[in-house]
Amino acid sequence: MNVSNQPILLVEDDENDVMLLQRAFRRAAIINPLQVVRNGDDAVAYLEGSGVFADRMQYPLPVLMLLDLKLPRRTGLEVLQWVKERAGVKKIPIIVLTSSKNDDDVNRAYELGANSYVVKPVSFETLLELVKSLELYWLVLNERPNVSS
Amino acid sequence: MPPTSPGSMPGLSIQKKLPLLVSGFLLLVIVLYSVASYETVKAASMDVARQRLISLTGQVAQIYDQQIKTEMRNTHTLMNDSAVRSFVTSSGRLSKDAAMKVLAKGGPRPELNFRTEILDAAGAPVLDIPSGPLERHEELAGDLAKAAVGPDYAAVGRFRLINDTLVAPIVVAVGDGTHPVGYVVRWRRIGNASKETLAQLSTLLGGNAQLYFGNDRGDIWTDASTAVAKPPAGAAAKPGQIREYTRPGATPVFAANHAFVNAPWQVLIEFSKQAVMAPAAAFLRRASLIGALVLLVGTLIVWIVSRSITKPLTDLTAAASALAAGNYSVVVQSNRADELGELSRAFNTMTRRVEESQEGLERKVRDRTEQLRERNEELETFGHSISHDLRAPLRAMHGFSQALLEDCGPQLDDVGKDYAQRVVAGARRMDALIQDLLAYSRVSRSELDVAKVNLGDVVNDALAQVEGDVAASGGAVSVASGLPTVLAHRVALVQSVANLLANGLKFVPPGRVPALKVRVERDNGVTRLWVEDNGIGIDAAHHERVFGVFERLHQNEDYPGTGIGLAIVRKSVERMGGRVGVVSAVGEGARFWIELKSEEGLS
Repeated sequence: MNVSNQPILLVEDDENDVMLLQRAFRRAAIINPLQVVRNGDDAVAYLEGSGVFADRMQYPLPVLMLLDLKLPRRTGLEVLQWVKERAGVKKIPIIVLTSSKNDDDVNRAYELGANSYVVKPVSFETLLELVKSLELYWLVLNERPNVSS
Repeated sequence: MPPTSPGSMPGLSIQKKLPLLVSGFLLLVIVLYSVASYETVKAASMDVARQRLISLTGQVAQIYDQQIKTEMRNTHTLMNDSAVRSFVTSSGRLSKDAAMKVLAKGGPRPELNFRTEILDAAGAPVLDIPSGPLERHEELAGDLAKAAVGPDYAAVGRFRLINDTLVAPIVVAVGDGTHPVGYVVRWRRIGNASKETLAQLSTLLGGNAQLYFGNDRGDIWTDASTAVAKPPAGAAAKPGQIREYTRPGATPVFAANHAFVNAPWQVLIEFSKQAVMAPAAAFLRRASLIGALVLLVGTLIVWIVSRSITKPLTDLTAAASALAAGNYSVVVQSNRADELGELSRAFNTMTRRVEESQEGLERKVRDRTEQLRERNEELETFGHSISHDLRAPLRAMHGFSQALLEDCGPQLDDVGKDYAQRVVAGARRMDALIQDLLAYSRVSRSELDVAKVNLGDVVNDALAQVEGDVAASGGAVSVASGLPTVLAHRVALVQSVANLLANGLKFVPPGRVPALKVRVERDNGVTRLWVEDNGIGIDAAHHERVFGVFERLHQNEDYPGTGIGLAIVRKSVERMGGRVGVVSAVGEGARFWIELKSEEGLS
C-alpha cells in the first residue's frame, strides 16, 4: 500500500489548533492527507468505521494518530485506552499532542500505550519544527506495522 | 534520674517500702524493749542472788559459830578434870593413867576426834592419845593465848592438813582463872559433817549452790567433806559484796563469804551463774519468741494494708501506661469509697475526656487534611487549566499573527507588520510567564525527596540547559574541578543552578562579555555552591527581594524575564532543606550561593 495515501488522523477540538496544524502540514509539505475529528466519540467511530465513517475508501485507517487529551465527550485518554484494547487498530502509532504537561497525564498516557507524548508549542516556528520531526521519524524512519480493521 | 528526698529508698515501691518501714520500726521497738527488760530482769536476778548469798553466808556462819561455842564449852567441861590438872602440875608424875582416861573421853561424835593431847603451861606437848610423836605447836600459840583468857577459856584454831586429814584444834585451858596450868588440845576432823547437818544445809542453800569452809587466811579450804582447792584469786571478800569467778574446768559462779566469830574460819557460798541467770535467759527466750510473733503478724497486717492501698495505684499505673500507648478502652475497676476510689473514677473520666478530645483532634486533622487535599487538587486543576486552556488562545494569537505576517505580508504596511510582531512578542512573553508560574507551583507542591547527588553532574546538566544562552552571550563559565556530593533533589537542583547560570549570563552591562565561576565551600556538614558573575550587581537593599515571585529590578526592554527564576531557585532549595542567598553590590557582579547538606548527612 502506498504510504502517502494513508491519512494522519488528528483528534483535536480546538479550531485554531486544527488550522495552525493544517498550515504547518502544508508548510512542511507533507503529502499524507490530514483527517480531522473533533471529539473522542468521532475518533472511535472513525477507527471502527461506523456511522458517517463507514466508507473505508473515503476514510481509510490512519498511518498515525495525533491525539489531544482534552476532548469533548470521550477524553483523549479514554480514546487511547479504547484503541489499545481494540484488535487491528491497536498497532497504529499514537502521538499524544496536547497542551498539558501534567505528570499524571504523561504517565497515564504511556501506561495506556501512547507511543509518544508531545506538548503543543506556542510558537508557530516550533510547531513547524515539530511537525517536520514527526513526519521524518514516524513516516520515514520508523518501520510501520500492518494495520487493518 | 529522678531526685530522691533524703532518707527515702530509691527504687522501692510503696508496697514494699511501707511494710519494710513498719517492720523495721517494730523490730527496733521489740529489740529495745527486750534488751531493757532483760537487763532489768538480770539485775533483779543478780540482786536476789546477792542478798541470798550474803544472808546465807551469814546464817551458815552463825550456825557454825553456835556449834563451835558449844563444842568449846563441852570440851572445856570435859577436859577440866582434876586428873588432868594433877598430871600437868606434877609434870607427868601423877595421874597419868587417870589423865589418859580423861583424854579418851569421846564427847559428842567421838568419831571426829583425831588426836587429843595435853600441853604444859609453856605449850609443850606432854601427853597424847592416840599416842604418836609429840610435836611442838608454835602455830597454836595464838590459840593458847586466846584460851588462857575468858570467857570460855577455850579457842578453835585454823584447819591443818595432817597426814592428808583435815583437822582443826580445839584448845581449852586447864586450871582456873587467868593462869592456866596447862592446855588440852583436841584435834577434830573437819568435813565429815553429819547427815543431819548436810540435810539442814542443803535445805538452807537449795540447789545450784556450793558451800565451802576455809581458814581466815584463805589457805586451806574444804567443801565439808574433803579438802578442796582454793577459790580463784580475789575470793577474799569484804562483807556485803559478791564476786564472780570461774574455777578451772567449771562454769562461772557468783560467790560471797562470811567470817566466823568464834574461830579463824570463814564460810564461802557459790551460786552457779547460769542458775542465777536462768530466769533472765528464760525471759529473753520468751520475749524473743513473742517479739518474732509480733513482728510477723505486724508485717503481715501492714503488707495487707499496704497492698490494699497500692493495688489501686498499681492498677492506675498500668492503666496510665496503656493510655500512653494509645489504648483508650482501659478502665480502672474500683469500688472503694475513699480517696483512692475517687482517684480511680477521676482517672476513668480523664481517659474518656482524652479519648473524646483525641477523637476530636483526629477528626479535625482528617478534615483539615481532606480540605488541604481538595485545595491541592483545585490548585492542580487550576494549573492544568492555565497550561491547557490559557495557552490555547496564546497559540492562536501567536500562530495567526505569524501566519498573517507570512501569508499576508505583502498586503500589510510597516505599521501593520509592527502590530502583528507586537502580538507575537506579547504571546511569547505570556507563554514564558505561564511556563515559569507552572514551574514555580510545581516545586511548591510536589515532594522533593533528597538523595546523594554529585554537584559536578548537576552543574554539567545545568550547563547543557543554558548552552544556547552561553553561546548567544559569547561568555564563558568556569567550573571548579572535583565538586563534592550533596543531599538534594536532582532535577530541581539542576533547574535551580541553570536559573542562576542563566541569570549570570543575562545581567551584564551592554558590551561586557559574561564570565561566570562555579565553585564550592564546605564547612561543618554543609556545602555551599557559589555561582559568581561579573554582571551589573544588585544593591544590598534588593538582596532579599530578588528571590520573590514577580520581583523584577529592571524593565523588560533592558533585561527580559518573568521574575520567577530566582523564586523557583529559593523555593526548590528550601523544599530540599537548603538555603540560598546572594552577596553583591551595584557594579561589582553578584555571587549567588546555594547551601545544602553534605552527603555525610544521610545516614
